[in-house]
Amino acid sequence: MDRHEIEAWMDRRREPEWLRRLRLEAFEAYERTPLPALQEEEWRRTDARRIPLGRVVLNGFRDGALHEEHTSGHPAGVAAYLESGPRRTGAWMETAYSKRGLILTDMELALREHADLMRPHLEGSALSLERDKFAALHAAVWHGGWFLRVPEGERIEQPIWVRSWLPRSHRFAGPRTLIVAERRSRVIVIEERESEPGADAAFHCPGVEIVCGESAEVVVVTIDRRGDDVWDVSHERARVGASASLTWIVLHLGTLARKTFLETSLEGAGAEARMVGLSLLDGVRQSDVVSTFHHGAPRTRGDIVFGGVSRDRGRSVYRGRIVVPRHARGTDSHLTHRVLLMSPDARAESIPILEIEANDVKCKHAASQGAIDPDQLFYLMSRGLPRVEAERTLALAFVEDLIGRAPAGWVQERLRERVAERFNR
Amino acid sequence: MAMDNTFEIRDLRVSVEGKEILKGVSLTIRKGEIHALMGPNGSGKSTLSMALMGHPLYSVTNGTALYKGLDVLGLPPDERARQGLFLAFQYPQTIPGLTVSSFLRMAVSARRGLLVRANGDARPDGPRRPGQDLLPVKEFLRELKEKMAALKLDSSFMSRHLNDGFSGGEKKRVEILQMALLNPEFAILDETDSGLDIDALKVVAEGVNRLTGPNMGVLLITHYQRLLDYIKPHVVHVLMDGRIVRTGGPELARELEAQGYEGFRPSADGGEATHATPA
Repeated sequence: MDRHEIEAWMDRRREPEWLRRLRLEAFEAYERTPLPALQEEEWRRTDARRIPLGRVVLNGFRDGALHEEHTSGHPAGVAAYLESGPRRTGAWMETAYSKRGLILTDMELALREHADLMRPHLEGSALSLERDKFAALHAAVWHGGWFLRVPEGERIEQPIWVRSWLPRSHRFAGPRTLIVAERRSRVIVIEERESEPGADAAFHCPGVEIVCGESAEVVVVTIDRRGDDVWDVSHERARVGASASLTWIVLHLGTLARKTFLETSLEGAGAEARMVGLSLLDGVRQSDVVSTFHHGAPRTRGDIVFGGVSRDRGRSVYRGRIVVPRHARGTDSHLTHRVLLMSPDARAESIPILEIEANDVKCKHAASQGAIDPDQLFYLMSRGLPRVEAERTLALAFVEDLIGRAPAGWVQERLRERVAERFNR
Repeated sequence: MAMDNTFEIRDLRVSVEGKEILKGVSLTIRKGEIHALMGPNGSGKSTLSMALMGHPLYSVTNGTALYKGLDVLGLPPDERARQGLFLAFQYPQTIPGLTVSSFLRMAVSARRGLLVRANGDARPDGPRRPGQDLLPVKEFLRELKEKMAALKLDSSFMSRHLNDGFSGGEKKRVEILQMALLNPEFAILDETDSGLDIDALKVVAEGVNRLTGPNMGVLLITHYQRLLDYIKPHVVHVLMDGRIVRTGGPELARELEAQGYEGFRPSADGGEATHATPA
């Protein structure tokens, strides 16, 4: 892959000049940035040299020939639905919402029709090129993904559901997601990421940006159940404005190995963010997650609960960072990490990092990990549950404690169903 | 078969962390009988209940517990339960994240042979879909509500997490609720009266009395005579220092009440205290 190849690809995609410039700058950053070394704190547990960068190709993602199919049927109980992938796309939206300016669309289509709305967010992207080589790669070659815009003051009661799907022919993907919730808007959006496993390893390098305007109330739920052949390096970032609140729920059920950066910037006074993360690891799958809460304004509140269940030889590393600069007075931030280890070969590591420069702050962290409680196991078995069933029940109970923090109803049901599916494999 | 009607414990010896607690306990319970096992703290009452149910920390070093021609001591705890053995725990476990109703639905389904194959493995071989091996929801809920009402448990308990934030009395009532649903053939009630006020005790005792009958044998473990005012035993055993030192009728419980356990303590030579064996 070189500059000429990227230019030709951008020509085929008929991309606007401002975007071409962003991509080329990012490509230069990609070329000059070395792979992260194992000595770098955030990469100590993931050897970047093993990531199959050779898979990177500039995919045809319906270049030029765009068409939108409207699904005849759509799931019940949702305000809008989008199915997004390289071969097909389907979309449906409650008419009242589309008339009032709600946008939920495939990224390629969004670039054609809503470039004006997206441009400020893409140009001032919070996904820093300087973060690492993979962030630069994503910024250079991203394609696919989706765009959601919730207009100012629009309060959407029913959830918005997105399914992104990649076929086995796509061994590389770099989808970009942009969620913009304008001032005083309210939305619950749930994305399920899926991929069809192929014969050899795939490499995904997605990027997510969530923008919560002043006083917006936003819930973002990501259910990642991509194939067990995927190497994933993802950069996901949320910006939360004054008095806005974000609940960000991340359920990791798939991928072979992941390096995930989840950054939340509390940018306006009184902003609030809650994050609930859960990863289920089995086989030889591994997960390395870095979450950062950056308290960038006075009186912001943060609460993170990250949990994991590891079976077989599943391995997880969780690094939770809380940053409170001098001016962020009145910060209140909590970080909890809990892991259930279901086999003697499973491993988990928890690294809390608190960087606090302000006075008058409340900051707490707690971490725990352990095996299944033998007395609880005996109790369930004494009621007739076979050991395997009793262990599964206790693991699901552990998980339920996290799921119970998600919005009740449709979202919780979906999370439960997906967790149970993975457990029952 | 005649043997199906008895639960026969023979010369049971049990150690915990290398220390022998039960030193040869023999006891036969027939269906339809209620046996009370009384004894002071540390005599081995709870050890007996845990060993009979199969807690892995309690090692059986000698003896058998025969039921339906099987020595249940050789079975894993879940198999014992499915065969019809039940233990109402002195200290029931708290499991946040597991609702009372989903737990009970699994337990009832296991007891009725839906969740488990004949060889004891969880069914089926391949991936299972949630709920596919369970008692149908409607049928289960009808039964559950009926049994909860009988134990004066509010139906809101169904969606609460198991014993999470329950009072002592609520925990014990939920134990009896499980007994009612699982319909055991032999039930061990381990200090079901402890920590209960008198009203809760009456509710629990009524529940037990309703469940017992010609098809169930009961071993009622208690420290105090109080429970026996509400549940009438046919036979009373006194356990001291890992051995049964006296067996008698209900009058034995009153004798204990009057003179305490001290008079029943075996003498140093291993024989029984003189007045413990009536002429």
